[in-house]
Amino acid sequence: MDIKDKIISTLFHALKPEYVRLEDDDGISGFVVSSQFEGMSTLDRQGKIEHALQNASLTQKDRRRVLMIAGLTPGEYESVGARIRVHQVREMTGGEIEVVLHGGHSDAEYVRGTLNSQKGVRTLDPNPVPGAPGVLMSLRAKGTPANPLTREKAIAILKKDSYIEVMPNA
Amino acid sequence: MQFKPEQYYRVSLERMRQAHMVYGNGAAFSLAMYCGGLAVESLLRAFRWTEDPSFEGRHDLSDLLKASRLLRIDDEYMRRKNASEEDIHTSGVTLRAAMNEVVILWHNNLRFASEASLKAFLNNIGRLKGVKGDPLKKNALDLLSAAQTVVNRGVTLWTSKTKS
Repeated sequence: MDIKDKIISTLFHALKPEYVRLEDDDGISGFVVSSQFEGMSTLDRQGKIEHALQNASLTQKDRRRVLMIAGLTPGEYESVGARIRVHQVREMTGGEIEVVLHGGHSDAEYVRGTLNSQKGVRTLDPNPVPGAPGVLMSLRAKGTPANPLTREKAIAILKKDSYIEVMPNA
Repeated sequence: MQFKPEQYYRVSLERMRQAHMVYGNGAAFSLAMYCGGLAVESLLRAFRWTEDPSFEGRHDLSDLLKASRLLRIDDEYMRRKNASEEDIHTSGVTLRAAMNEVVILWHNNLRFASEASLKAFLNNIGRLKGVKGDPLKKNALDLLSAAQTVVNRGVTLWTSKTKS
């Protein structure tokens, strides 16, 4: 598990957030969205995030890689946040659907979780898109013979999630 | 137009002063907030460009956060000054809280926002609740205070950097 994933896991455990999005670009930055931050000053939010990070099993060197993790309420995120962008949803052979999104592994896992939450949908591990590692990720999903996952159905599922934006012509 | 880090730094101080002037005038809080956030963005660009001139910062949340190396530089600066771990921790949390406030209240689209649309935005993020007096003035002051905290720290670090 890399530092970013370790931090995401720690934040999920400590803050029970609705959503966490971190990037590692010569330093870790991003945001954690949680209802726990409602009515809380930003000083207290940062105190909570800091406290959570202290409990993560990070070395001092790893700890210094963390630049800034903003604490947002779901309402604030709705207004200022950037959603995970899904660029392409296409039908493949064998009844599989391929989803291509902009982001890293944690973003792909979030999209995967959204699809997995549908009854009968199974997904495969996400992979970086060849030629665009660190920028685009791809993952495959499949329904059951009785309840196949079509492109339209997958788009409808993804569009319902407030942290995902399905781009026009996806 | 291409700007050098020093120019971003200078303009950040200029925008901060202008933000306070517009705020003091009391007629355009959305513009005051826009200028305050721009002061922070310019400062972050100044630090980021010093290290990485290829950085293509857009005006969105993720990029603003990515550019927050200023916070790491702050830790390093305090360690060099032999500050205690507790002081470093307190300073880091204060600075990150100020940055968190800027992230919540500043958006590049504020440049197009009328006072009415600013009020609608603040209402959407729950920043009008329980505010006595003019909520736009209160939120503008919150943003300007947070921006000033970040800019003040930037000035200290920039000055120490150019001296060394």
